Amino acid sequence: MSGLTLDAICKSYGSAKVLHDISLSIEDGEFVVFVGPSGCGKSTLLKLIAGLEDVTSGRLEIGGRDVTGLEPVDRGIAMVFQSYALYPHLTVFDNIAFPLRLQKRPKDEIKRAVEKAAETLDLTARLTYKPGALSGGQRQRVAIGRAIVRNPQVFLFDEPLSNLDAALRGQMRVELSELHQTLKTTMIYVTHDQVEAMTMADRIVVLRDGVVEQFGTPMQLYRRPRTRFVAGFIGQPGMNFLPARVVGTEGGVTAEIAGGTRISIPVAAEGLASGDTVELGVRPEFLSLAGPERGMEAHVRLIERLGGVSLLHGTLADRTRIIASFDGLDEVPESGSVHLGFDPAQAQLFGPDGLAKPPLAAVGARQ
Amino acid sequence: MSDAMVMPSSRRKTATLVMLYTVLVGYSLITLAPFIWMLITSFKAPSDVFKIPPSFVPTMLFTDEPFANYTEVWTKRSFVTFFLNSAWVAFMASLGQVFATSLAGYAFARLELPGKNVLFAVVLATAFVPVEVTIIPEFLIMRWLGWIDTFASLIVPSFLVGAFGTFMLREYFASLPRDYGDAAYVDGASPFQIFYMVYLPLAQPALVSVFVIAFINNWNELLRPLLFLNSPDKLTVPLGLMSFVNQYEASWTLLMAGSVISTVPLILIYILTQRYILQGFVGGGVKG
Repeated sequence: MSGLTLDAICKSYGSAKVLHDISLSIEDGEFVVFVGPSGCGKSTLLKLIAGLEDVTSGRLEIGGRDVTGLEPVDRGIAMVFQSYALYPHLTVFDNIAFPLRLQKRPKDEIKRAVEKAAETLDLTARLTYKPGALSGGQRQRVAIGRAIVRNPQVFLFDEPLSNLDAALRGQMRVELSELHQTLKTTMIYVTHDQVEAMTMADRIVVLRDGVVEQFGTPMQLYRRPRTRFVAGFIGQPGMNFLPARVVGTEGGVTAEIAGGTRISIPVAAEGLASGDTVELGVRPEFLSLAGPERGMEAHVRLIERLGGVSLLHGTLADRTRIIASFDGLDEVPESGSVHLGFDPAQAQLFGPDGLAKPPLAAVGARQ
Repeated sequence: MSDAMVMPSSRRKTATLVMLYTVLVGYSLITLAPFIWMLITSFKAPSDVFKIPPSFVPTMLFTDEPFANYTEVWTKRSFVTFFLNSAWVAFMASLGQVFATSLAGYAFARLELPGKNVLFAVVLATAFVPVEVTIIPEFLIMRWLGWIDTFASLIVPSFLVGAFGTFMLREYFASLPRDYGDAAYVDGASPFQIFYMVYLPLAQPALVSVFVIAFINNWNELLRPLLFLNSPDKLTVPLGLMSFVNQYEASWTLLMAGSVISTVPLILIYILTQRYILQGFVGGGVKG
C-alpha cells in the first residue's frame, strides 16, 4: 500500500493563506497530476507532501502512515525538481548514487542499483559524464534515476519537463508514462501544462487560488467540468463560452444566445429562473457547419490550418469570439459568414456562480 | 550606410580607445614604477643607490656576480627561515580563514537562525575597526594564553573569524540554487552533509579567492608578528626585511632583493589561481 491521503491540509505564510482545506485520496499506483495556473499553490502542495514545507494544519498519510511531522527522508518519497538539481561537480554515477551513499549502503549494492537504474533510463553510456555534458533530456533522466534508486513509495515530480523544448517534452511525456507502467508506483506530478496533465494522468487535480476546483479522470474533467474555470483550463483550444439568457426551465434549460437563437440544454435548472444570465460552454470540436438560416451566424476572422485539424476563428453577432475545430480535410470557408450548430447534449451550462449545471441524466440517476 | 555617416563614428571610437589606453598605460606605469625601481635597486651596488642624478642602470648585472645581493639575502641572512616561517603562517592562517568563513558564510546564507541579520551586521562591522584599536587587548589575550613568541598567536585567530571572507562566501552561497539543498535534504542529507557534500564543492572559486586574499594579507602582515614574535628563528619575511635597515646598518640593496623575493610567492599564487579568483568575484554562475 502506497496510496496517499491529504486531510484538510492548509498552508499559510503569515496572514496569507495559500492552500485551503485540501482533501484528496490518491490510490496506490496512481499517476495523479496537479495542474493549475501560476500561483495556484500546486508546487507548494507538492513541497508539503515532500516535507520541504510544514503544513499549517491538516494531516498527511502515505501508505496508511501519518507522515505529517516526519522528515522528508522518512516519508518514503523521492522528488524530481524542475531544475533537475543535479550536482554539477559529480558524475552521473555519483549523482544517482548520492541518496544511497547517504544511507551508507555497501559499495557493491550501490553499484548494482545505479547500473540497474541507468539501464532502465538508457544512461549506461553516460555514467562517467558530468551533468554539464548532457542534453536536457538526459539530465532529466539522471534526476529520475536518482529518485528511482531510492525505491520510494511515492514519486514527486515538480514541473520536470518545463525546461525542455517542445519535441523533447513530447518524447519525455511518453517515457515517463512508460516508466510509470513499468514501476507501478504512485506518482504525483505538478505542471501548468494541461496537455501534460491530460496525456499522462490517471486522475487530475485542478487547483485555483489554493482550492481544489475538481479532482477526476482526464475525460471527466474534459466532458463534465464542474466549474467554468476547469472547463476553460482543460482542453486545447479552450472551450467556447457563449453569453446567454434563461428563457425557460421546463425539462432542462432553454437559453437564448446572440442573434436570438434559442437552445434547449438537457441540464438541471435548479437555482435558475427565466431572465438569469448564464453561459453556454461548447468545445470547438462539437461545433459543426449548419445549413443556412440554422444555428449561430459567425463572421469568419481567420482559419488556422494545423494539418490534421483546421481551426475556424469567428465572431458572433454580439462580438463573442468563437473557435470551431474541423477535420483538416474538410472544406471550410476562408471568409464571409458561416452558420455553426452543435448538439445541445454536448454543451455545458454555467450558472452565475460559475458552477456547471448537472446533466438531467445524472440528476435522474442520483434520484 | 554612407561613408559620411560611418567615418565620424569610427573616428570617435578610435579617439576614445586612444584616450582609454593612454590613461591605462599611464596608470600602469605609476603602479609599476616602485616595483621596477625596487627590481633595479636589487641589482645595484650599495654605493650606486643614492647617486645623484639617480641611475636606472642595474649595475651589478654587468659584473661577475650579478645576483650577489640575492645570494647574500638567501644564504647569509636567514632569509630561508623567514621565508619558511611566513609560508607556514600564511598557509595555515589562510586555511583557517577558509574554514571559519565558509562555515559562517553558509550559515548566514542558508540556515534559519533567529537574529541572523543582526549577527551578520556585527560580523561585518568588525571589518571597520582598525587593527590598532584591538591590538593591545589582542596582545594581552595572547600573553594570557601563553602564545607570545609562538605561531599560534598568528594562526589561531584566523580559524575564528573573518569579516571579508564571511561576506564574500555568504553572497556566493546565496547565489547557488536552493534546489540543490532541497534535493539533498529530501534524499536524507543532514544540514552539515548538505554543506560539505553539495555546496562546499560548488563554492570552490570563492573559497580559492578567500584563500588567496588571506594568504596575501598574512604574508604581508607586519604589526602582529612584530608584537607577538621575538625569537630570531620565528621571524617572518616582513620582520626579516626590517632587519636589513636598522640603527647599525642600512643595506638598501639587500632590502630590495629580499623584497623582490618576498613578492614571488604572491605573484605565483595569483597566476595559478587567477581563473578561480575571477569566477569567485563574479559570483555563483552555476547552472544546474
